[in-house]
Amino acid sequence: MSIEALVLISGVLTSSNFVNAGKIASSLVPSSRERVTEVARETGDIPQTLEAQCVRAYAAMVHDEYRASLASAEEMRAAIQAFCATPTMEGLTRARETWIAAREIYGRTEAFRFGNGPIDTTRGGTETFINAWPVDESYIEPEADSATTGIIRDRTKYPALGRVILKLHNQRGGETNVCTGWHAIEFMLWGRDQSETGPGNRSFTDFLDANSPHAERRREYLLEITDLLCEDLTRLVKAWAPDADNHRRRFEQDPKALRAIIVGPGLLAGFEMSGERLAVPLETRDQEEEHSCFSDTTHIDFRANIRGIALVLRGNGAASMIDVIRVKDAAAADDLATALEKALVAIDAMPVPFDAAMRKEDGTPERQKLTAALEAIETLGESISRAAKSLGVTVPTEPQG
Amino acid sequence: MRFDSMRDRMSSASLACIAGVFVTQTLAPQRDEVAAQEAAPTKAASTKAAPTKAAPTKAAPAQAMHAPNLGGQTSVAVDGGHAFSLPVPGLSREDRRAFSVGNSFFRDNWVAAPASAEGRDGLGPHFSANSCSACHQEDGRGLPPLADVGVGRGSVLFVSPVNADGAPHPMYGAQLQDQAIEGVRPEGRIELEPQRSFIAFADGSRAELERWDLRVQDAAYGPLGEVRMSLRVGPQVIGLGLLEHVPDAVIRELADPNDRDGDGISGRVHEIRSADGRASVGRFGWKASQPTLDAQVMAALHGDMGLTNPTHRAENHTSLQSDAVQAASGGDPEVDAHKVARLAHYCRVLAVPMQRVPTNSDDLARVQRGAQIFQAIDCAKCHVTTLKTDESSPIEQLRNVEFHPFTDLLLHDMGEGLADNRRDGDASGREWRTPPLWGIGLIETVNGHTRLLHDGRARSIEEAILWHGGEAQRSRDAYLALPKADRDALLAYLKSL
Repeated sequence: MSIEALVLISGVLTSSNFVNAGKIASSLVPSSRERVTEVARETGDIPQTLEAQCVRAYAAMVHDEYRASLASAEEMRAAIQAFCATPTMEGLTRARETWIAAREIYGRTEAFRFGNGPIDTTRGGTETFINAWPVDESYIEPEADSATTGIIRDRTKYPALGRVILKLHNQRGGETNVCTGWHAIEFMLWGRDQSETGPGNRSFTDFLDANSPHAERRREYLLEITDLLCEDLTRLVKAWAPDADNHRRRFEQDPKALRAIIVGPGLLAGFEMSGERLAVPLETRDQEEEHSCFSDTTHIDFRANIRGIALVLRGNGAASMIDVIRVKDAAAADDLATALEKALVAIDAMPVPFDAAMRKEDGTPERQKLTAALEAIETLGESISRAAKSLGVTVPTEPQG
Repeated sequence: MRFDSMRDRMSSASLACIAGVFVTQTLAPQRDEVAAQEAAPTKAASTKAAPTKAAPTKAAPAQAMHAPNLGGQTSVAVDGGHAFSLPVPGLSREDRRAFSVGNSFFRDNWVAAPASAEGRDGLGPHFSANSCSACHQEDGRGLPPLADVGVGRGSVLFVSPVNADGAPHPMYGAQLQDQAIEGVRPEGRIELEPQRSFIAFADGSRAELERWDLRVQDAAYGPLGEVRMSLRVGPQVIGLGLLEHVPDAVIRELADPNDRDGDGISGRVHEIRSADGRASVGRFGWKASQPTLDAQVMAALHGDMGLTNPTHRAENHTSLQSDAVQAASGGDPEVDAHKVARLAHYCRVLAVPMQRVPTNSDDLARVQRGAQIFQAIDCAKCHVTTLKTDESSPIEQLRNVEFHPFTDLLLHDMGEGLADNRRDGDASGREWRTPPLWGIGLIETVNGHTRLLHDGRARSIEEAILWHGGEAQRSRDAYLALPKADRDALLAYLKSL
């Protein structure tokens, strides 16, 4: 399960109103002036209220971030194509490097989820194909050489590996039956992580016809899911592009846009990061529950996620979410800023690699740091819920009382 | 929690409407109309009349039969593909963490032992599904094993020899599993051959019903012989912590096994005797065979996934199945008490989504009309709209909650059409527990299908209604007699739940 929520709004938010250039709302905090003027210069009009300015700035930022994500994914695709054309150790290393770089950029965009936007359209949404997790890798290819099941080896059940087929089979018959997205690519590039100290060490020869009867299918599958990821990211970029009849246009006019913005960080911190990705591995000590378990880059996921949250809350220097909240409830805004800062520090202090640290005994410095990060993220989730309340928005992580 | 917000959002008029107030004057003439139609079912022309003229908005805010907050104050305002996946609001950090851990055990695939994933092995040797989420994808509803669906996506099959009074099959056990770990044969292949039939409404129009002939092919351990089979799909997993703590006395009070009030509806408690002889009220599963969530979880782990646990210590094969006997164990038990507790906690706190109240006034009127019809044709006699928990839940938020599940948790004779003719504990082959109706309008959003009933045969809410027989025959007949506009209103109402 990943959590997506429509959250109640009590109607306190007014529609975004836009007026012609020149009228900068008096509620604008001085530090934001410059950025808003910049936005106005680009678009020819200026949002009247601080809320509307925040919504605009957010939309522009989301577009920038998805564009950056697509560009880095396309670099990864080029590296994967080169590797599949001529499988070498160097080629595999390069492909892995580009995956790590692209994954970090995508990680920031997770803060844009949960608002019923293009990333999380209801059933079979884009997120499901891009980022489903955890992966039962045997659904893609079992470990035993003799096995004949799984998407790569079972040519009767999966004669072709086209995109439509792969999308149809993603999460079919169980939520960990994942066969598309970042973590499927990660599995193909690293393989199972059976090392105490490092990531999975799949050999490039897995992709050489001379070495494996499954090499051709592996290449075909890897290329296909990489294309699919780029295709899905392209769709997100288009949905947030300026001056088009798209989600962004409707979003900028949506009276519930602020709600969509704040719910993302609220649920990412309050459920996904603290619950799914941290509380679970801390309790089970199960490597399968580590987020990027094949590549051992889980710490980068956490750092990217919290930076995405910071981007949404602090904005790009203009009309940020925290500014909006400050007008309603200064104490909540201060509390939120503090919680965010503490979460950033605690996450950056998480030990690496994550899997080795989580398996340590309770009370060890590694476990203590992970627990401190968990608590800091939970506190952040609760602070976001409280702050959201000042906007008339309820995030379901809100503690009682 | 957020009732204030919800109220703010909706006009007080719409609140009154959705409250489903039953106004006797409005409906009385319709019941006459119904009787008239029953007398002359073919005279379609005469059936379009008064009923649709009812003006339900006039309803005074008298006694509310239910409200948008189907799960009481534990409801969540949620729509979309994860509508069944949120926990009840206000949980402590500890309970939220336990929810996430429970979710991981519910969601993730179990694997054959031995495996590097030590905490998650022990699957099989025979199994119907390799995870809870296989049958309850996104905590929602599973599918029967139709040809285009495939195996392991939502159903289990119970089997008993024909004269064994519900006893397990001597070779295959109580359930026939159509999957197995490597080196072990699946017990058989379940084949469904759809059969279609038609049923006529009083207004002359018809509806098509689907059912199927069920066969087991490729039986791996010899012929099954003549057997009684019961195919059952996994229902949505919401609000279970509320149902768990409705006091036994309340459920007993709803029962009327000898139909003393003479309304044609009896309703029987499924009395469960635990090993120590204590009697408790069965409330979970299609036959209300399990009294607690822990018991339900352990029965499913064992019967559906082949995972031993504190209650079911022996593997789910019989001693005659030699390849299965030799399969490696994932430990004793394969799923320990701690994991069972996490799974039960997860199921306990999954929240009920609020009713989706239409904002458009025509749609609202239709839903409101449907709520009246639901009462008028006695659906609510079994699909009881309001129950309340006592103080016994381990979760503070679930104590003393009034909620709207649309079930009485009792067994009812549902007639020959739905009967599987296989005794299950104290439940006869014609009896089924009234399933809760909350969330049924969201199954399509969450699971991409609209199949209902114990074996998933109904392709729509209407087909499910039309299968009602036995104690529900009168309500079914009343539905057949309704004019189309009223049938649509009832369906619109049910879809809003």
